[in-house]
Amino acid sequence: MSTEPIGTQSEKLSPPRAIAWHQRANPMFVVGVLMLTPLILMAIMAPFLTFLDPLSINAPQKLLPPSWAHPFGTDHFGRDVLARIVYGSQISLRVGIGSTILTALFGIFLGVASGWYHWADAIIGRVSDSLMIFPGFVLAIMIMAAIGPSEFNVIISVTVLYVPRVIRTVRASVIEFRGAEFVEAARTVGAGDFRLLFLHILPKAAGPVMVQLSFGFAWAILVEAGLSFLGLGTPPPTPSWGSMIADARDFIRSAWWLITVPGFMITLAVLSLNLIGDGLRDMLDPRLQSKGIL
Amino acid sequence: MTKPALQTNGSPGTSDDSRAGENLLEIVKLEVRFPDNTGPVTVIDNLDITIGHGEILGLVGESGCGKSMLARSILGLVPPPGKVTKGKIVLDGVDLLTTDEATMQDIRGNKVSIILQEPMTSLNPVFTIGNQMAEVLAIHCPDMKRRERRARSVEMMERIGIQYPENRYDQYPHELSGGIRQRVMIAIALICGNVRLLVADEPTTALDVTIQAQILELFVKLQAETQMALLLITHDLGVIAQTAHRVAVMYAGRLVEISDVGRLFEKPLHPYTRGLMYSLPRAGARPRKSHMPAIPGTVPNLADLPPGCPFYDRCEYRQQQPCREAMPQLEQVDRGRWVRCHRWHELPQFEVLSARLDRR
Repeated sequence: MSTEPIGTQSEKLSPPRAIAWHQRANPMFVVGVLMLTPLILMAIMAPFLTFLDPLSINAPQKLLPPSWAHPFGTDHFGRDVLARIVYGSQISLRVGIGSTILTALFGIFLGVASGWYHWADAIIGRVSDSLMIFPGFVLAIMIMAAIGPSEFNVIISVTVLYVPRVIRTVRASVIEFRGAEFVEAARTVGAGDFRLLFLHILPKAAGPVMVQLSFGFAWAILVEAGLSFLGLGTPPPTPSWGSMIADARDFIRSAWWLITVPGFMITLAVLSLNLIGDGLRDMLDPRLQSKGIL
Repeated sequence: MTKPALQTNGSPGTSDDSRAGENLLEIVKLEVRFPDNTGPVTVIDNLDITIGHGEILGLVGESGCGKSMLARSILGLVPPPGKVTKGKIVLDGVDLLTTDEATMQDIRGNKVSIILQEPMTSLNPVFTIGNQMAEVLAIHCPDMKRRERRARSVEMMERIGIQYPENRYDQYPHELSGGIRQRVMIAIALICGNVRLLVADEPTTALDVTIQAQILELFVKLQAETQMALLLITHDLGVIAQTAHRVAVMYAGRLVEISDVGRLFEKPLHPYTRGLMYSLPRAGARPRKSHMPAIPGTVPNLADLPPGCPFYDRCEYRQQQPCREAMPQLEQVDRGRWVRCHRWHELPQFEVLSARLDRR
């Protein structure tokens, strides 16, 4: 080691540095992850967390307050609220993950195309602009009304709504770097468009896209709950958090646990993902130090 | 109008008594234009030049005279909206201008490589330098295994004079100095091992003087080893004197003089070339005046060229007749010597001028 010049020591080279984690993990990010992890575990381990069927109706047991047998009480059909919350988390996460993956796929491909090819920009740009004109939730209602309520359709409508934002993010990065010296240099050694875009330019967009997607995830959970609340999302009797709140409206004075528990869960999920998004943004971009809530 | 010179000895830019097929690269009547609000701007006008196998051709001229554009045209990478509007660029018998993009991609980095001016920004900051060398192999030698690519890259770094190549392989561009980065760029350009023509676009401009010398030595060494041709673009005549076999001088998108190095420095013919030589800082010249000699004025706006000689406004020897009236043609002076000046044979001897310079 002593023969090596400064700067080539192997310990400098060891950590994987594909993404520059410039700082220690951001506190917002850590809190977000700590809040989200139990939710994910809950969805995965649902059958082990509760032995009660979220769908079994038991009329005599209806509207029971929280007790040892029913930690979150029961609803107006006598169904166990804990079981419904636990299984409801599966829906929220499925919709969130599904729409995030679809948004990422479409957003990246369309964003790259519109940043790289002028003719594609003209088409994709106008279409995504016109999608962004509508208030998001109103458009979601319109789409669901057109294609009918189902979990998969919720994923589709969330994707349609969120994709323009990802397209814009990717497009901005592509435009920023397409004229960069290092892209030009890669071209001079024979790199084709595909290689330039996906190997040289896209990694530069990874940070902002990840941030966008984590907000998109939160938004998907919120939209799913909202649509289910309106009866346009996941059809009953499937236990969606949104439809649970809708059902609980009638009992808001008599059975407080019915509306507070799912409400709390939605808040928790959305808040955790927003914290993760904010934290990621600060970690990936050292220049941007927002004064977050933590 | 001056008649075009009778071309008895090959096309301009040809080295001494060349025969067809002996040249690696032949550029014929190249014209590159950029559209502009007022109409197209011609940045390279009717340019003929050849490079022989294993030849080092120096290309000199001020900023904005079309040197880099020429380099980019050879690789088919004229930045849009610019376009090659006329001419031929023939490499080993193949016209690169009619070649499709996929074939051009095979040629770039493989048969023809370019080294860009800016080693600081030409490397992708998110990948290790080893990664970026191996990438060229991934493009051009897809059969190579990952480990072979690494071995080849390390070997190349060693050849290019990078110490501790194994360690450097995993370092990122920001961890390296400008000199090493430029070496990496050279390694990237040559790693395929098939390079017939290396275009070096001001490869030493961004480096300090001691590193410049090292990099130039490296070019000469590599050129001798590989027998590739080298097109060395620079605005530094000192660099040319040290390395090139032949020199082409460009002004305002046109060639104004072509010569072998010996005769050019002995007797520059074009007033512009002379101006460039005066501008060289010289030990022992002891100018009384504190300022360095320079060519007055700047390169004319290509969108609005005055009639006649483009160098007219800055020329020490201009005459209304014929300089203002007609664009001089590239005339053959001697074997392998061409000049674009109406009055080249009337100009005072260069030696006399240099004496005058010393007196002053």
